[in-house]
Amino acid sequence: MKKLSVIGICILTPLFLWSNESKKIEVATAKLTAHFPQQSIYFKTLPKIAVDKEGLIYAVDNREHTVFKFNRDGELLANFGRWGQGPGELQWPANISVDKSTGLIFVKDNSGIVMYDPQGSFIRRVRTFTGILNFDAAHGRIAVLEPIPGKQDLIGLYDYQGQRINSIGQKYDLDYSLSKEIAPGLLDRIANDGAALFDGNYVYYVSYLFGEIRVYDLSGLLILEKKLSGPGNLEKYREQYRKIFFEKGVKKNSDGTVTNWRIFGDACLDRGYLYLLMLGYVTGDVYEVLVVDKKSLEIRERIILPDSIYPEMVRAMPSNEKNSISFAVSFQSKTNGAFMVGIFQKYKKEGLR
Amino acid sequence: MAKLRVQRNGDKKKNISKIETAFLLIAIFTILTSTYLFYHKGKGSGCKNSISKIIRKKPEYYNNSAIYLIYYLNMTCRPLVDYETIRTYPDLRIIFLFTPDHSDADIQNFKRVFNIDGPVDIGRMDDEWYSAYLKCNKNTWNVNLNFFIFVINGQIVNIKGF
Repeated sequence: MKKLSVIGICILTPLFLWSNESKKIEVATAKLTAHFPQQSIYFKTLPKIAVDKEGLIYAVDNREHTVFKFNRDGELLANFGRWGQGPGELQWPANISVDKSTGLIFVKDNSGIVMYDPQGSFIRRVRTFTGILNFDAAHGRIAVLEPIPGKQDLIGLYDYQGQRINSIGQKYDLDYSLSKEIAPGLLDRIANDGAALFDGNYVYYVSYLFGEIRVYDLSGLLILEKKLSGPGNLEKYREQYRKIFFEKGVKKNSDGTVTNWRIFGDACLDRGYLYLLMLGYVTGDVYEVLVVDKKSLEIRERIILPDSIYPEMVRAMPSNEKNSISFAVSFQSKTNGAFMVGIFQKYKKEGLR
Repeated sequence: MAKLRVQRNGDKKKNISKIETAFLLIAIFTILTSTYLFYHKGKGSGCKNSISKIIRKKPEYYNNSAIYLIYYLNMTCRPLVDYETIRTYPDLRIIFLFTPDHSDADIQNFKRVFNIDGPVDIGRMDDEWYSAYLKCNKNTWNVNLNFFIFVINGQIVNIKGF
């Protein structure tokens, strides 16, 4: 009997340790390989960025009303758009997306989504009337995160003519009476803030506030749902925010503002992975990029960004090497406060955590 | 030293004669009046006159109507003013006119988002309406507004920018 127990322990212990080990996530650090703009132009705000299939970077500056196109060395190749309301002109551009399959460029400004061809020539302006939180253009569709007041709609799927093809997903079911100080429209925007991403087959919704991911097919059917867990205090903050939004209610601060709670600051989709920018306070340390398998929604890797920056957006860069990960990040330098775009390369494995 | 400085300042004030003061006041008055007339009366009459002209051409159509001239709306930040109230008024024609660059898909999106399902007229501004819109839209902030025009018995009773 004793022998059997010893054999059992000998077999089971390594199995247990192995299974525990496999749950751990690989952690790596990233280094800055290039940053721009270097001279002649500078960003007045933290730019919103997009990357095309050749690795060219498009950065839009909210106060310049202009799109800048750079190569990965930071050389300015072109710029287009200017202040105005005419064809191709922009007013307070707030986000940008590039359809990697066609090279078409989409910029969200004050009055809708402006569409340009890869050379920067104006094609058309699409109006959604909804107060867009985020959007992603890919494979002939624009997935628009637009929680509409008074309706349950979360994401609108549009074609490039601006026709709404389908409604995907539902907003979080909030009890507005709990948060009387906040207008329902604003509460919807805070609670449902996130990213709507499209890969040609599925629409991914990443909740920045609750750290959750939902996957829908094109008919709007929920395929997969995942509450991310693991890094830092992610679960703790999710529970805390759920309590505030679903039990206690949201209150204004003493100065009349509303805290913009978030676990993630940005998300993008590239090939088989979702890249989520996790805010620094979640780990109590620095900002990280979580690499999440888009099929299983499991976190595969944590890439720690340098401590010297406040990152705003992350976009995966194309790469020919299988295990090489690099991404473009728009950030504010902690050293001099400048708004920049940097190319970061994963370079050093820190181990498992 | 302090006493001396006060006296010098006092001397300077005395140097401006009554005639010069009168000229100065007249100049300030002229500048203020012309600025007021330019920004309020001039702009207002151009906008209102243009709309009145259009309305007079089709009095039966516009007799009792609420006309929205729309450049950009946003459900969250720039909602459709007064629509929930006026939609209940009997015998009031509600007209939505969009700037000419709105596509059919845009107009469909507008109807869906704002639940426009009642008997309303929706279209794009013709040249005349667009010209009137541009006159109403002149503003120092370079911002494109939408306008709500309320017509009762053929008379414009309200023009509201939003």
